[in-house]
Amino acid sequence: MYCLWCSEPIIQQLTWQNFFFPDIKKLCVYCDSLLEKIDGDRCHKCSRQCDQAICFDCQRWEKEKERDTLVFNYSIFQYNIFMQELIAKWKYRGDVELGNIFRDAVRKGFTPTFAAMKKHAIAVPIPLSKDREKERGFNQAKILADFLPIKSELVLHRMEGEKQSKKSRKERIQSINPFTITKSINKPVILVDDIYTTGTTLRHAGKVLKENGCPEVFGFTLIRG
Amino acid sequence: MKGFWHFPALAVVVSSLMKWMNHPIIAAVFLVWLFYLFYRRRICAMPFVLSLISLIFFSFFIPRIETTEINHKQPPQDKELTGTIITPIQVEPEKISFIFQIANTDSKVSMLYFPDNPVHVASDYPHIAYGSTCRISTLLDIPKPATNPGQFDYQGYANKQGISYQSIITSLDELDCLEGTGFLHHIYQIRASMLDYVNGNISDGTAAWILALLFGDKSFLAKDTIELFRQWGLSHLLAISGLHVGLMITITYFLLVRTNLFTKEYAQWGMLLFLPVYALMAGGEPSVWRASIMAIFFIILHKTKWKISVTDVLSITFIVLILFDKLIIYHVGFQLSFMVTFGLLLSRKCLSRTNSSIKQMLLISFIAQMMIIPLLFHYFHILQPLSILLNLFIVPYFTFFVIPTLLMLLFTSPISTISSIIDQLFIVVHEQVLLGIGKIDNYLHYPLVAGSMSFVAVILYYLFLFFFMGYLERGKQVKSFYCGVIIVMIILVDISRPFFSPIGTVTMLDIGQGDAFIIELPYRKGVILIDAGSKVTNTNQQPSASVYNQVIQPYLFAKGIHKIDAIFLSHEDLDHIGSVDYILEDIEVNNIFISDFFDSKEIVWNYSEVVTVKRNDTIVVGNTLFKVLAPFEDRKSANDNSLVLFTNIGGMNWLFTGDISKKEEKEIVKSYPNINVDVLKVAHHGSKTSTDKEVLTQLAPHYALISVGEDNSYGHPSDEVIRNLRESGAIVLRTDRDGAIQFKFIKDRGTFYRFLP
Repeated sequence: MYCLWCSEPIIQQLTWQNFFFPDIKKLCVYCDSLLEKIDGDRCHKCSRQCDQAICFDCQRWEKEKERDTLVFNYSIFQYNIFMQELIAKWKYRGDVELGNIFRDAVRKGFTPTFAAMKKHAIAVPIPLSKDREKERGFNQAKILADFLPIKSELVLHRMEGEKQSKKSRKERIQSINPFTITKSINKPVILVDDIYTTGTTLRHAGKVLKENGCPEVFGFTLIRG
Repeated sequence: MKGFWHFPALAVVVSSLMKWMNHPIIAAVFLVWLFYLFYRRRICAMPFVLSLISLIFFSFFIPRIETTEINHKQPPQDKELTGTIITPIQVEPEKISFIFQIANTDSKVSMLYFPDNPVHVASDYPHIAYGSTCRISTLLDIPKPATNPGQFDYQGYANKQGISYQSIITSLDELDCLEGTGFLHHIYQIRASMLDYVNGNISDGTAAWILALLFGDKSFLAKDTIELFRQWGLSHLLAISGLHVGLMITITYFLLVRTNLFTKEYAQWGMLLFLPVYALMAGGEPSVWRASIMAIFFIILHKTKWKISVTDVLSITFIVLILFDKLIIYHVGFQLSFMVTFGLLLSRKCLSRTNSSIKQMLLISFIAQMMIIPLLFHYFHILQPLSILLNLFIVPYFTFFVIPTLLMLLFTSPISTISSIIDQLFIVVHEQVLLGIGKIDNYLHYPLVAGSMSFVAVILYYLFLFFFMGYLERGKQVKSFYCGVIIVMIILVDISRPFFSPIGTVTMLDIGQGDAFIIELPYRKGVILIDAGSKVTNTNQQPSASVYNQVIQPYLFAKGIHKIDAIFLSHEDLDHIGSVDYILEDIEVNNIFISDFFDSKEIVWNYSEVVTVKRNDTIVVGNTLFKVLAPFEDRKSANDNSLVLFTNIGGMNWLFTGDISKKEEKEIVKSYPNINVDVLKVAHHGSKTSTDKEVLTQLAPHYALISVGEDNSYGHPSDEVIRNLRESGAIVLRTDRDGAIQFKFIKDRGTFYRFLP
């Protein structure tokens, strides 16, 4: 097996822990060490690494009760430089296989947080607009959602628009809701996406879901930007 | 496949376990695991397929060891044998041995020669060597099987080496040999002359250690030292292993490079050639091969810049060794060596968690011990828990002092002035250290004595060892501690199985000509011995330790007995009491019961808790009552003064008669006319002076036990006695034909078992 990033051979070190159930390593030991997990204290609402229980951004969200449709978001990794390069290669240069790097981390991160609602919750990946999906060839959120041990459904539809990443915070927050729904869900929904930056996208999607009968909406994202 | 070579290696282990257990359950579990991992994409097709192939191939390749199979094969009758010597000649002070393969067959013979005077085979008989083709006239025997539970099974041991017969040579001159040729022959010749050289040029005490630690020949070390090291888990120091090979490589490499004789490049190539030769020189034990082959791998990997994990190297070495010699997997040293190395390799991540070298050494010592505890119980029945601490001091001592000093001594030995100084220094230091270990053995002797762990316990043990180490690796010390507690509980519960067992046993051990009975009451309420005889040495008529060492102690330890409640001694003949002295050295004994007329003048043992008993006395041990029926007056004869005991065990009335004669038997049935006996220990090994026909009619036992040596010079048991017993309707059970006899009972019901089929 070769490292998906640097193409060096990966050699498993057999230890007491992975003896019965080997981990699948997609990155070599060095590249793997460049991925930074969010650990220590984090914001209970958006997973940002900080000492406050609720970070400043989320306090602002909480003031606007009707737009804040998200119970909380859980993220796994920090958005460091290595991660930025990784995501760029994965999403924008279309190296689909790179997504598999996150399979184990996604599972391991998901289980303890959402264990209680695992049985009846449904994962809904944030969709791409038709043009964007055609251009990219895959939806990264759907790939992440498929790693999860729960059912995932594509119930959202996204209208054409500008790329979120090209907008400022203000523009993003005040943008029009681009989502429509194709099927209503009356179970708790865990929205899945690659990056949580301002949280607007998730909340737009959450709003549409809630308006159509969904009781609770959570966020599960790979990276807290 | 990199990082996954341990899967096919584990498949080899599983297929051999399956052979050994004679049950496919373990293979089933392994397959389920393998398929699950493959299904969950944890392993790729390559390791998956290779493991399956390995499992199937090795389950045909590794032979089953069946002792009975060879029983039927009678040795060839022709006295004149032609064949080849296929091992180096093993020269020990009192024994010379080698293995001989009969020409045009696959039959191997273990040849033994017991010299009267020390012999230097290499110089005196240069033709008797590895690879020589020889002619010899000698008779072949089948190796003796064990006849007692727990006893070392020489036949099984020989079978595991593929040896079908053994033969004792009366003189080395009888071997008519034509010297062999070839590489191996020369290597072994050099080795033999080096052994001779060391023995001739270095003081005996030091030479023994050089031979053991540098040439892999332990036979010159004192038996007590080997036993002491084994009990304290230090045997790995006496077996040449990774430690020695590593040191040898380091020192040789250093010398080659620093003396500017070689470039580093050439030095590495040199090591590649040197290592196999060294492995042969060092006696070729499995642990040497393991370490040497691994070292060769690492040098090749270093040179080719290949990358492969260390566990892969170990796994491939494992498979290669078994492919070379399929019986090696049954070798105790092979099993211990791989288990320990595997455990340590798994622990690298765990070891790197700490920077303190003392903690690391403690952890290494601990892991090495934990990996092999079930094996130690299985093979040796004894474990010194404190050996982990002792290893902590003794391993560095051997690494940094003993081995370098001995190497230096060997290199300087041509210059006798320097070498004699080093020799002296070594003796002074080493004696003190050995004395120290001896003292520790005296004061900190808290051994765990137990037989083999049950299969379930072994599985649970290793499972929790994985959890324990896994948590330790993740730094979860509390959880790891709980697992540690569970591991200790598993061992303790397993050791105390006899205390929960409703099964009691009465065992008549086969000690040859003599008596030794062991009664184990249910729930371990008591352990009682009735007599513990020994053989007598030819030279000075003293009790020999052989019966104790080969039969009694292995039985007691295998049953986890380290405390005896009572020993009844019938009379003072050595075939009834000779082993008592040895028992008292090893095992705690509460009381020894003898009769009033027991002549203790010549008794060698000195023991305070001796109780004398007389007729009609009753002794209660556990819930079992023993009644003394005789003697009531001095009969002026040791045999007739025998203590006669009556008891009820397992719903049967037992009469233990010692060596009493007919006269005494008649007196007993006259004094106790209503006595009812189910099991009679036939007096005096079935001699015709005992077991009166009328007495027999009156007692009418259902079972008659005769403890008697095979082909003894007394002609015991007499045909007449056997006939009388049969006519009285008793089933005769005798140690010379049946091996040990065991009566196993629950409450009032029991069954007799013969050890030999």
